[in-house]
Amino acid sequence: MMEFLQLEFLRNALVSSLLIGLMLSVMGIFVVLRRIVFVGAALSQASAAGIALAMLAAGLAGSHGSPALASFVEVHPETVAIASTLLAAALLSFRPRFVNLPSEGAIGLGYAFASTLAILLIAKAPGAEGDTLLLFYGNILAVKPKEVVELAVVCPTLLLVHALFQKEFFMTSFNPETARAAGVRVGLWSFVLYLTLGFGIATGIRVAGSLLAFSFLVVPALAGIMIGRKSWHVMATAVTVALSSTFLGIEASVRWDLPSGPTIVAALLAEAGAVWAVARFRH
Amino acid sequence: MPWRRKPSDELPTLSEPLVSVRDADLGYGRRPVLRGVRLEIREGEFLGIVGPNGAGKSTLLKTILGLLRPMRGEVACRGGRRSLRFGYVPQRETVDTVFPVTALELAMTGRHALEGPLSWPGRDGRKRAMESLDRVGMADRANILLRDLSGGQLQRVLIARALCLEPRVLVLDEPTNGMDLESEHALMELIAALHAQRALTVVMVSHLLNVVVNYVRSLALLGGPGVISGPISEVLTVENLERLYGTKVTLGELDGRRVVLPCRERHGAR
Repeated sequence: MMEFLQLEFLRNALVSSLLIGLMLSVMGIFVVLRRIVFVGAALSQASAAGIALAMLAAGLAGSHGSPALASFVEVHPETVAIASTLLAAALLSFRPRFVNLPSEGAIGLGYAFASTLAILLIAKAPGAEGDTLLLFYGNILAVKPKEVVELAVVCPTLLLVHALFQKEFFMTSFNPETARAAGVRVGLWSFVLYLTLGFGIATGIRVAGSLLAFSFLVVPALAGIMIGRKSWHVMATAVTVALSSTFLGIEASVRWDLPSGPTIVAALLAEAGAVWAVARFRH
Repeated sequence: MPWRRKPSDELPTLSEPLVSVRDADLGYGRRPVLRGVRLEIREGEFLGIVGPNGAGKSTLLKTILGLLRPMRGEVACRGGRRSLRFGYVPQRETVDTVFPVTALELAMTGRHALEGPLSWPGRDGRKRAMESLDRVGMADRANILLRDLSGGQLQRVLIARALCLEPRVLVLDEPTNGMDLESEHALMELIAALHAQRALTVVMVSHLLNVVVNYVRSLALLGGPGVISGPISEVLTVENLERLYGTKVTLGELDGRRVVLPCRERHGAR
């Protein structure tokens, strides 16, 4: 077991997956609690729209004599992507103030809007092809050491924010009307929660790809809800499932020559199935 | 940090109502559900807001709580809204019982609302939550999951959460909806006792007229144009009820309790 740790790219993949899995499995509890699981898909498209915008801006700035701007957005498209993801997160969190739509509907609308925007922008970006955006979805086996260091900063920081404001996030997610009636600033805390979600999901997608990031966000939290008998059990189960599936998935992918990301997702689903079976047996 | 009054704020007087709804149009978006509403909630009052389904009871309640802004008119709270703490007990169907939360954990979220960010309720918060559960007769069910509680037990836990907030006004939305007769009676006795023990101001919305009129001191009838409100002895009249429900009613007493019934002839003809 674990002979693969001798290979640097697999070590990077393991450490990155563990960090992303830890972060997104904790965040996923609030995503599932708020019934906004497709927020991951919508924010990933917002991230893609940001990259498309960066490519278009680089092309336009280059042809209109702004080489400094062109080179910045060309070298740092992820900065624009993170900015667009955070903007989308902010818009989704303040949605109830603007329009009377169910959360899932607003997220679906955001997904359609961001996807369309990304495709239309990339169509007009000089030198870009239709599938260029796919290059910006991460692959866990292609993680660079620099990205591991970035994750080692971003993930603990976001987890710290969640630890500090856990009760505010829970209160405003579990029963927002009661919290608002009690004087809690639900809009503010929802905004902070969505910002952390936006940042965490965008980071996760950029490094690990959308399938793995989305799965880390949803599957461990659902496993926790299936078996938990107290709210903290949900978090403990979610984190355990995410971390153990990462080890199992990478080991299995090396042993049977399978793509690592989807194999980790398969391990997540298998563990969630096992948790469901245990929960059924216990009842 | 306790709320501090600005020097410019007017000092409240005891005769001033806790909440005043003044000539307000209430509703969602641009669609008014209630027009020209006038209502006052006074300290220590037990007010029942009654009306048929769709009359706008929940809309009025949400406006009182500050969850909805009036489209026109004003909703004023004594000393400002931030100084008036509402313990809101929503309809229990709105509570997510899929997520594994115990009765004690839910009650403690009431304490969370009292404390600012970066603080934890700790032992004191847990003790207060247990006291609140004890007040509603649920201390022995503290570690039971919400999904394993009966409707009446869940309603009591929701009340315990509201009490944990140490509210000035306890606001209940259809608390006895869908309950059997015994649970309904027990819950209403509990709410009446909470009101009587500490002169807690209670506002309760219900479409169950026969339940409400036997416990409240003041009544607000919704369903016609505006709101008819005042002491129950003045508002609970045959004329008001017939106007509200659009049918002939009989108002009487049975075993010392008020009873409102639709008249047999008109009821049968429907």
